[in-house]
Order: sequence, then C-alpha cells, then structure tokens
Amino acid sequence: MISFSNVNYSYQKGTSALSDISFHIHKGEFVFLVGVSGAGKSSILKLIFRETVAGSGQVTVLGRNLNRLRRREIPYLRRQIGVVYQDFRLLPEKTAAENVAFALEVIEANPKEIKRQVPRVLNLVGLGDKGERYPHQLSGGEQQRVAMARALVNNPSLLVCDEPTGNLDPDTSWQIMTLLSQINLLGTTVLIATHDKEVVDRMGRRVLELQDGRLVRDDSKGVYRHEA
Amino acid sequence: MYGMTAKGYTAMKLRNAVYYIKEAAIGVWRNRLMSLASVIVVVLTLLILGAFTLINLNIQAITEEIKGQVEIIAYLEDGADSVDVLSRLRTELLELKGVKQVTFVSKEEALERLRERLGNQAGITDGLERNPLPASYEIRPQDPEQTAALADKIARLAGVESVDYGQQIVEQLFAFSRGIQFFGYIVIAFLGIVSLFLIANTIKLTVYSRRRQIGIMKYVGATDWFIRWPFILEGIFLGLLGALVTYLLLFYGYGFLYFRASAWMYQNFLSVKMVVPEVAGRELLRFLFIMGAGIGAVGSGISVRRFLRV
Repeated sequence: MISFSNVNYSYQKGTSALSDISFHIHKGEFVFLVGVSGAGKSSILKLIFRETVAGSGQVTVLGRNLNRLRRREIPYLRRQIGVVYQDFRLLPEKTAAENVAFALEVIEANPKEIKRQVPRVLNLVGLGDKGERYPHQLSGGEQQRVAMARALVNNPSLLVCDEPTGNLDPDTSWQIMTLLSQINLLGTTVLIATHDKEVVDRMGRRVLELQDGRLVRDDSKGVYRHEA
Repeated sequence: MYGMTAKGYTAMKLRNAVYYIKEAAIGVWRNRLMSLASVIVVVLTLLILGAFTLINLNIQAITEEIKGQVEIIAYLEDGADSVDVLSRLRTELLELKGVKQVTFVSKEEALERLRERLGNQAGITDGLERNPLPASYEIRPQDPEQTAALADKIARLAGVESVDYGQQIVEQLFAFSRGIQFFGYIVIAFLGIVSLFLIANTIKLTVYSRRRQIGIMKYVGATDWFIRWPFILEGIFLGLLGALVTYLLLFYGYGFLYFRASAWMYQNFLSVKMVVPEVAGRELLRFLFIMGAGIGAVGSGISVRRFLRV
C-alpha cells in the first residue's frame, strides 16, 4: 500500500527534512506517525500525497512509483487517497452535503452517483441529519466529520490524516478516533500523523516514530513514547 | 471510475461546460468591484491599442492612396514628338516590366495645364514666343515601391530627355510609412504585454480569494484544466466586455472625428481621405475582440499557474 525505501528529502533551502526512511504499510493497516513538530511527519505525508518528490530513495503508493509519476497523473493518484487536515478545510459558503458533493463534482463524477454517495458517507460519519447545515453551524468535531465524509466519498483505499484531532477537545478526539477505526474495519488503510499522546496510547496500534527526520521506532502495538 | 463509455464522456463534457460557466459567473459577481476594475483596465489599454490601430489604419490608407498617385514623368527631347518616335516610345514603354499605364501629354496640353494652374495670372504666358514646355509621357508603375528602378530604365530610352518622379519625396514617404508601421507594431506589442500583466494581476485577486477552493480541488484530485477553465472563462468574459466598451467608445469617437475632420479638410481644400468609420469599425471590432479575449484568457492562465502548484 505504502512503501518507503531509503528515502531522503531536503527542503529547498537545503536543510534535511528526512534521512534514510524505510517502512512498509500494508493494506488494511491502522498506523500512527508520531513525533514532535518538525520531526518530519508532514514531509512524509506530502511525499505520499505527491505534493513533493523525494530527493533520493523510492516512494511507492498504491503500487505506483511516485518518483516517476507524471504531473498529469497526480490527480488520478489523489482520487484514491482521502485526506483529512487539522483545520478541516471546508468551504464556508457550502453546506455540509455540498462540501462533500463538491469533492465528487470536481472529479467529474456522475450526478446520480453523487446523489447516492453523499447521504451514504454522511450517515457513515454520523451526520445523516445535518447535511443541510453550514460549517459555522456545526461544532469542531462535526466539521471534522464532514471533512472525513468528503475524504471517504470517493471510496479511497487509503485515508491519510494530518493531526485530525489537533483542534479538538479530548472527548471529541476520541470520538473521531473511534470513527477512524470503524472506517479501518470497513477495509480502508488509515495513516494518522499526530502528536496527541493520549489518543495514541489508548488506541494501542502500530506506531512509527520520527525524530529529527529519522525513523527511530516501528512498534506493532505501540504507545506514543516508551518510558525512558 | 465514472463515465468511461463514449456516451457518458460527451454528456460529462457538456456538464463540465455548464459548471465552468456557472463558476465563472459566480467569480465575476462575487468580485464585482474587482471585475469592474479589470474591465476598466482592459478598456484603458484597449483604448490606446485601438486608437493606435485607427491611426495605423489611416496611415496605411493614405500611403496606399499616395502610392496610387505615384507617376513617372518622362520628358521628351525637343523635336522628338514626331509620330514615329512617339509610337516607338509608347511601345517600348509598354513593353517595360512593371509599367501599368502610359499617358501622352503634348506640348500644348502641358502649356494648357500650366495656364490652368496659374489661374488669373495665366496672362503671363501670353508673351511667350514659342511653347517652352516639353511633351511628356506619364507612366504609372504597377508597384509604386519599384518607382526608382523603373524610372532609371525609362531615362535610358532614346528620345527621353529626363525623368521626374519626385525622387526624394516618394522614397522618404515610403521609408516614413514603413517606419511608422514598424513603430506601431512595437507599441502594440508593448501595450499588449502591459495589459496582459494588468489583467493577470486583477484575476490573481479573484484566484486568491478562491485559493481555499482551489486547494481542496487539488487534493481531492481535480485535474488542472478542470480548475483552470472557470478562471479562463472569467478572464475571457472580462476581456470581451472591455473590448465591447472600447469598441463603442472608439467607433463613435472616430465617427465624430471623421466627420469633423472631413468637413474641415473640405473647407480648406485638402483631399486626404480618411478611412470611413464603417470600414475602420469592422477592422477595430475584429482587432479588439481578439485582443480582449486573448488578454483575458492568457492573463488568467498566468494567474492560476502559481496556485496549481500543490
């Protein structure tokens, strides 16, 4: 599903962001990517999402070698990857349902298909009755659910989350995590970058830990950080 | 995933067109003030471009007209106006390459023309013992720009005393009109580029105000062209609107100027023929609409570029 082998990546300024990163994530896994800000989590997500290209080494996502992916192929890769961000990134002038439908409209999906899929994913994230509300009429947790519905509406096989609970209180965070593991049970591979220690420890899932751009730990049933 | 059949594909494209137009209209309306500002910018630039086009058009027309009037006068040697010599010369002239038309002016006709030109002072020619004016052939060249070369050949014919075609004036005129046209193209190109960047900057504001939307489109997998089209249509629309306003201003402005100038020239016995407004208008319409649409499309294309790099 995702494979990094000996990946190095530097910012444009030349400072190294990732050095010699290698790991595999298999289909159906649920993985946390942890580390302090600046440890390299975002760089890994950007590489997976092909927002940027590795300096050396190889990144393979969904069977495609991203080093050799052409520019015009990028949209088709992204249609198979759902993304959720810390700041939700909803369009304020569209309702929840319209925000979700938008993701299908812009990839030129069939309108009948859109009418069928939107209520399905809104129900999946528990917002079946709130589709007509605008983002400002929803709580933070509900907004993040809308973002998740949008990420899932095209049935991606991979869901990537960048600090999905960063803006949420602990209870809401836990609800979002529960929802993510339900989605995982339905077969979607889930990768979550976070520094939310409590959530990671409580979930007890595979943990990849980054420190200064290096992969320092890969625990199959990990916690945020081992006691020193 | 969706719409892989040929039928589905066409239907989808139509649906896309509807989406693009809708989004473009939303863009224009939501940023009414900015849209108005861009239209004003387009109008200002196109006004200068259009005015230049009109000037250029008239210079071209005047040059063409003067070109049409260019003629070589071959003065004949005194006493060469016998029937034999005249018919031989006529044949030789007509056989020369590049000669369009040959007209004979006899000594008497030449004197008559002079008297006409002198008007009420024509009496001074009455004292002449004999007619001092030579007979001549007036030759119209096919290509006025080849006048000098042709005149050279004619001068060498037996029986021709000298040739006159206003040498320097004609040559200077051609050089001048070529220079003006060249300068005109440079100014048009320069102003075109300036207005392109002005439009690009204005549309950049529209694009900037929708950067969130573009970002979301990028990460859910919309193609670059799908994202680009609404902005390009918006640019084309603003450009065409600007072209229309400019056209109306210039067309009526030129029409007014044309009649004023024509009346003035008539009163002052000048005979410079300006391009009639209908013809100028047709040229202007085509030029302005192509420029307007082009500036709008390319300008918006430039401004979307940066935001597509995600």
